[in-house]
Amino acid sequence: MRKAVMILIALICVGTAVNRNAFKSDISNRDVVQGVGIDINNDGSYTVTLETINTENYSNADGAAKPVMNLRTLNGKTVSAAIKSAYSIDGKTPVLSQNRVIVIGKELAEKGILPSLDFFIRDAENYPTVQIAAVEEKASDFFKNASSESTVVSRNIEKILLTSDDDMAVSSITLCELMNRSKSAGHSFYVPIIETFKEKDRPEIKSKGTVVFKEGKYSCSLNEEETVSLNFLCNKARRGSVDFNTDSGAAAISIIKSKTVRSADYSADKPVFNIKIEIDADIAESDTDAGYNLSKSEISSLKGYGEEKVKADVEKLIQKLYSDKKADAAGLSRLIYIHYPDLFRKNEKNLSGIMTESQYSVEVEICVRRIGQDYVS
Amino acid sequence: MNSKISAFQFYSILLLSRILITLTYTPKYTEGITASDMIFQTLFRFAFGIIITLPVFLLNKKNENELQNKNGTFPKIKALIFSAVFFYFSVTTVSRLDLFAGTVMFPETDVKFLILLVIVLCAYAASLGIEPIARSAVMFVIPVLLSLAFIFISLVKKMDFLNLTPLFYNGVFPVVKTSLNAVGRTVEYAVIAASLPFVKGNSKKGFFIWITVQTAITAIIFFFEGTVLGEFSNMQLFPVYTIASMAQFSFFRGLGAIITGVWILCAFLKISLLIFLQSKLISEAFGIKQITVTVVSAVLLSVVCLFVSGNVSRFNAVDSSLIKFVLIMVSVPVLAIAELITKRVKKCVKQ
Repeated sequence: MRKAVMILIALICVGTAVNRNAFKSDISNRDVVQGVGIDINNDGSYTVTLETINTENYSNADGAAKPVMNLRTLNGKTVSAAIKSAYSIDGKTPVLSQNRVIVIGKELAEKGILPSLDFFIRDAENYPTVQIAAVEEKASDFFKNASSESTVVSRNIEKILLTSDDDMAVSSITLCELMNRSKSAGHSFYVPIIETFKEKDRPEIKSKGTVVFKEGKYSCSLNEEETVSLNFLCNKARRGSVDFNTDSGAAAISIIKSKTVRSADYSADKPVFNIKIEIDADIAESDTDAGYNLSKSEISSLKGYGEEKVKADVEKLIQKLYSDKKADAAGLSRLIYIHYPDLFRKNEKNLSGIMTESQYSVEVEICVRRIGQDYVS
Repeated sequence: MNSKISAFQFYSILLLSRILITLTYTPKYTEGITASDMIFQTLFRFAFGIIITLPVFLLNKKNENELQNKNGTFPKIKALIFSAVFFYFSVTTVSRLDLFAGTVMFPETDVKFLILLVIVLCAYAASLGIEPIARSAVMFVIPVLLSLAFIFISLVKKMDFLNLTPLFYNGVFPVVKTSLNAVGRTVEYAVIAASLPFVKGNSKKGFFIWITVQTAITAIIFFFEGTVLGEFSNMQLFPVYTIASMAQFSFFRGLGAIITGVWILCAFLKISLLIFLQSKLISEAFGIKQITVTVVSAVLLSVVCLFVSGNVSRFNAVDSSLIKFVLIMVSVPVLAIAELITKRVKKCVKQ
């Protein structure tokens, strides 16, 4: 019995090894995708830009530098058809397991991005943690402009977006988070905007605010200051700095830690959203003479200015999102869904109306933990 | 079964087997219920599990389980019913492994060879007897639980409590139906009914510990799935694999490989156990050599699984919640109650 089993196992192993598909796993036969740019054409077809690792770079025997990355622009009726068409061009299978970012072109953002993301959810290789970003041009143009011989554009984008924990002016969203938000009633979500610029003739990438989508389509753009407020509103602000003007000049606080507690109350005739922003801060720059030892009242005054500034910015953003654009980009309606399901069910089809009529109470509390190298005199 | 295993060994196999069901569940069984309901329905499952197993324990308390009897028609019928149930569940377990391997592990490769390899290895393990399977389960249960704990700890940062939902938003009925579906998919109740006479030690206490631990583990898994994935879980074929692939630790981008390992290990033990039970029951009831039944069972399993392999429509037809529920109900409470009633009637007639 044991011998028979061993022989059978050996036969199956050999069968698996000679399987035709086993040869496809050779790295040089694969297009290892690092980033994907998606544009929509006038006829509804897609242009997909793939940034892939040059897997044949190792054969560089002459010493001449070969590009690290390949940039490939593909067309197809669907996103998947466009990506798969790479195979017919160079015989390489595109592999999405190393994909870092999906870049949405401007026209696609205007027409609606959700159908184009379906492939990335169904594809077993693509991670749900892949970052989503938008550009204010064609995604294919963005990749062309941002590429150079030694840079991996997609990795740079990912690096920038992942700084959102340390820089509140940068927002970020993963495929999983975006799809989650898109499934809520009257859904809105946001996507960071990135742009390319030249630094000593070398292309560089930077974050440029946020774009808000309502029901999958472009609704409005937020600048960097508004992005900071959005991060506060969404409880995504962690560290960063806030600068503000005082009566005697400009000052800045450095945020050590921030937390936003959001709650909804429906005891009155309309929902009230309470947004409490708790910030632990360091005084990064005071409005006094350089190195001046701050008094208790000066610290308190700076703290007050900081609180006012954050509060005013967040309130301005709420006005823009909920009254002007009727877009629940901060996902506050989820609080109604969780705490007042009956109210939510009753107004599911007119959620933006309810959100516009709601009251928003913003409270900011800054706790000054440090004041630089001085101590309070 | 001449050889007996301890209650701890027995429930270790069942725990790994049950963990496999939770890891491999797909949203099609959940009646579209929301994240918090998914966590809550584990309590219903717990209650239903105890209710349907009570007659089995009552039957064994009175030492009236016909499986210990080697003569008569009833033990033969019982052995046939249990074998059919175990065969059906081994088909669905292998098919689901096939679906997982063909979708997530090797999407571009035909996995028929892998499936055949698994069946051959499981049949070989089954032919060695219950003790090696039990010893393996005891050896692996702690590493498996630690691996799951490691994955969940690395997911803590990704939790968002706003992904949770109000309880019973779509009513209570879908929640109850989902938990009944889950009970139907728990072949372990049938394994308990078939194997209880052959387990040493306090099997009743072991059962309560097992059902409590597996309910807690299932609730924890659904809690993390709900808070990490939210609605996104309904878009995934295997949501638990998805959350594992989102777990990041140091430079590891995803910990899906751990789940894959746990999954294959649990599937191996489960399929081996089911093949072993089929062959043991049939050989004892009909006096056929156990190795012959093992080989026939493995060949039949291979033929059916190769027919189902790579075809989602066939998989959905085979992997029916209704069929599973009926099979579990018949083989666990109905059979035990029928046996208890028959014994009572016979006793009354004799008196």
